[in-house]
Amino acid sequence: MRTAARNTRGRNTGARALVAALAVGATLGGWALIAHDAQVASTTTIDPVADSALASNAATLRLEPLPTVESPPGNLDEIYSSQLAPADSSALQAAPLFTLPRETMLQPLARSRSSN
Amino acid sequence: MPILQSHHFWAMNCSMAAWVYSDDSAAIGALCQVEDWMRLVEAELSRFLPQSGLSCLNAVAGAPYRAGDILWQATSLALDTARVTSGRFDPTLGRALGAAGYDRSFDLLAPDEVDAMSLPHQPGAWQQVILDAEARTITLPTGAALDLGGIAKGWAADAALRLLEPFGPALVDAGGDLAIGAPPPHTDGWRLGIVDPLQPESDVAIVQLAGCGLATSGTDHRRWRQRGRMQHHIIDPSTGLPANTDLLTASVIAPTAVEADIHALILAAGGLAAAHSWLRDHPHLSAFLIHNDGAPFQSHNFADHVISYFPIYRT
Repeated sequence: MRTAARNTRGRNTGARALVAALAVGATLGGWALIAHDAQVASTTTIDPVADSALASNAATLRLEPLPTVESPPGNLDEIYSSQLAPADSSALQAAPLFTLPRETMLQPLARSRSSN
Repeated sequence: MPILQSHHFWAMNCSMAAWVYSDDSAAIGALCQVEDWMRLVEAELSRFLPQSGLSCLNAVAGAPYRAGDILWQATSLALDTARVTSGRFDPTLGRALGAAGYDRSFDLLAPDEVDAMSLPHQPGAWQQVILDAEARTITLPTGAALDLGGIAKGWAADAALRLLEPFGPALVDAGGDLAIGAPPPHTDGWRLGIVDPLQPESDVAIVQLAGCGLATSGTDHRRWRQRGRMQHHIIDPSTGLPANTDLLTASVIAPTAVEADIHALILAAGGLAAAHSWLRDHPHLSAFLIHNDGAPFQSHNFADHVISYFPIYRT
């Protein structure tokens, strides 16, 4: 895909200018949204209805710690061997130590990470 | 039948990618335009390219500088954001970053020691920046320098998404800042990971999102050593020094990538206690935070987006 994409890449400056014009123009929406948020925020401080909504949010939007999972104690080989089926050697498989929901086995398309 | 088309490239010293579900052959051209767009933004807003518009503006601080479209739009947005956030987001920290040693592209920083002259910090310098809309000039206060690293990638990702959306459901990854379009065909959203800062090859959570932005900011990345001290690029606007924060990373879901970018930076700089009140005052945000000791926290509404959490092993 990457190769194909590069082969068809436009290189004239007119196309680049179009990219810039489109992209810059499109950002105005995001800008307006932030300005809108500011307007809402300033309104909530003086509107008693909004104040009550804010108090409600304080109850529902608390930060909550997530449980962590401890590594299982003991030697890894021992844990694996204890989970092997002893009777049928042809079916020997290392059982997973932890079973995750099926959907977690699928790789995400993109990943958010810090890079600023 | 729409198929997933993608384009991966390197820009702004980050790996970037764009995806679009489309059966239109012109979508490939649009994916390449995303790369062109990112390179244009980098060429204009980089602090490390001496010929960029931003570098030229910083070089003439104290005098009006006639800005091009990209620099004008990004600076206007940054100053507007500084006002909205009462200076929690401050785009005039370029000198502070340089003083902390982040004075060149990160891949050129010496691995262990960086030395730089410490300059007096000017808190709130953003309030003295003058924009003349008619003349399209920006005037920085003398001694100040703009750094738009806190918004550039998110802002550029949002704009890039607009380039792709006419062709179908799209997603843009600008170095981990994600602009997320309509859901892929027959799904409720894009399946996205949030990187575990302590095990970067793994994810701490998988979320499903559409029509929003997701960004992560933290002290886990882009660290360097200066005069024997570890430094990082998250600057506390009140001190001009690398923030003394107890958070390793902050990931935020917001209506747009640039909003997510801005709020992730504010949360990461402010620490866990400040995050409580910030999220209470901004209930439209969802956040997932990793404490310095590895403990994860989430805002209550973040769970609405999660498909699964991965076990986090802390031994």
